[in-house]
Amino acid sequence: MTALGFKNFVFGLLLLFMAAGTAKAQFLQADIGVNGLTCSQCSRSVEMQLRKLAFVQDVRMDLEHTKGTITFIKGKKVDVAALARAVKDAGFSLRFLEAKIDMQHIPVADDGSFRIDNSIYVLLDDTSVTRGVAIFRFAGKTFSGRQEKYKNSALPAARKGMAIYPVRVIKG
Amino acid sequence: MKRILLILFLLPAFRSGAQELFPLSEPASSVPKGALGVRLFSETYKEVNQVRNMSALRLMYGVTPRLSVYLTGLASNHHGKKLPVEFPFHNTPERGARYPYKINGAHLYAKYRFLSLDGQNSHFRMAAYAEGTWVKATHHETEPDLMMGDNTGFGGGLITTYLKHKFAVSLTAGAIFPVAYNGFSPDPIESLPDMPVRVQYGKALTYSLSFGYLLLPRTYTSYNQTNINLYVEFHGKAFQGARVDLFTGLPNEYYLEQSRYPAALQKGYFVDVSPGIQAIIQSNLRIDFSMTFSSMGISYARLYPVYNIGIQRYFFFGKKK
Repeated sequence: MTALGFKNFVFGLLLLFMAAGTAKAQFLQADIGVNGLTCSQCSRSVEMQLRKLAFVQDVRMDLEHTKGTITFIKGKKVDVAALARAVKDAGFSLRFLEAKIDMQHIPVADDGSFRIDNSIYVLLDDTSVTRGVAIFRFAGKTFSGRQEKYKNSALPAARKGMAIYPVRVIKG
Repeated sequence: MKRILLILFLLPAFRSGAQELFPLSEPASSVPKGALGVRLFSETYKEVNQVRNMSALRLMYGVTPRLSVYLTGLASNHHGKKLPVEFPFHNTPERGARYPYKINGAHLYAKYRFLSLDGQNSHFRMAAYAEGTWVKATHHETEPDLMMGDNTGFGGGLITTYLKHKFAVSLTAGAIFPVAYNGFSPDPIESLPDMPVRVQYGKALTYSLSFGYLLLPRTYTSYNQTNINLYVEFHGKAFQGARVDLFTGLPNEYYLEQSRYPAALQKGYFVDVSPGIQAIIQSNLRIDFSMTFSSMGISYARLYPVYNIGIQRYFFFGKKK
């Protein structure tokens, strides 16, 4: 190995460590809309169920507009399905879920899909993601209350045993 | 008076607005999964020269997001250990009799929400419920009551609740199947032993229509705002006549034609109206107060007006999963 080759190798290794180090800080925030809420007691039930989740740092509910903002604990794996489950456990359903994700160190495949931890996020529509902070709106009945058909070749190709989330780019 | 009350409560309701945490009826919504609710509630009314009180302590648990189970302990000074003398011919119901305050038994209730159509500020929900009460208490009227534990029995029904913005309306239809009570009535001749009596209370159809309106706050800004809700509830019951067997198990056992029973043991129906007010403090502590008046027919098991009080809160176990 030449000196230059070794340098590149060390640099590459460093990059890899850096990427690994930031790998879990990608989910910055999630905004949710909750359907069926009409009272502060119901809203509080949703908040209490969300706060039980190990990766949730803070929940702020907006009672007037039946929305909420969730922030996450740095370094913890964010489970989007668990957020939807918590809302359901409180007796309500999601109207929307929008996640703010830092795409800085996330490799995006040619078909627009990307992986975080053990989940694959597949872009619906022909959009692309830039390297920066992007906002994604989660699709499907669990997250939007609406069943829809996806037209994306990446969906069936996604590996077994991994959670697949169809998303739409709202910003980024 | 009744009409004025009605207009008073319904007018703001139709302007749009709502709550569904009815003081007396159950909404179709369920307890959040894993949350424990504790509710203390009572019915009180004046009877001749004393105050009758039925009190209950209820534990409510959300087994799944859709299934809630309630267990209620029941106590009152409404039931004696023996039926009145010369039951059922005279003195039924035995007005003004003094009974000690005692624990009567328990009520178990399960509710399953099978339909939820949620909108941004509305929901339409349906639930089915089943309930059972076991009490060791005498009950002098044919009209069965499981919630406050007048008699042992089973029941079930359907609940439909619609809520939009500040207004809620809920319809419940159900049935009660009481179990026969075997007890004793003292013989009028003191030297003779007590007379064994078997009472089969009437089966009943129950129905309720409840309206709720969120009065305050007009705009939500925080959980610390105290919510004030107004309610008006109609509760109806139609029940069969009782069948009373005297000297049960003895050679001279017999029963009397129902037409010769006093009114409290004959078939009947009533619709009560209960206006109520509720405060929800810190989005959790719920305090209800309502009064029940007769509107059509009467219940012989209570005297009007009945004062209903309830205090309730949820406990969320904050452990991180």
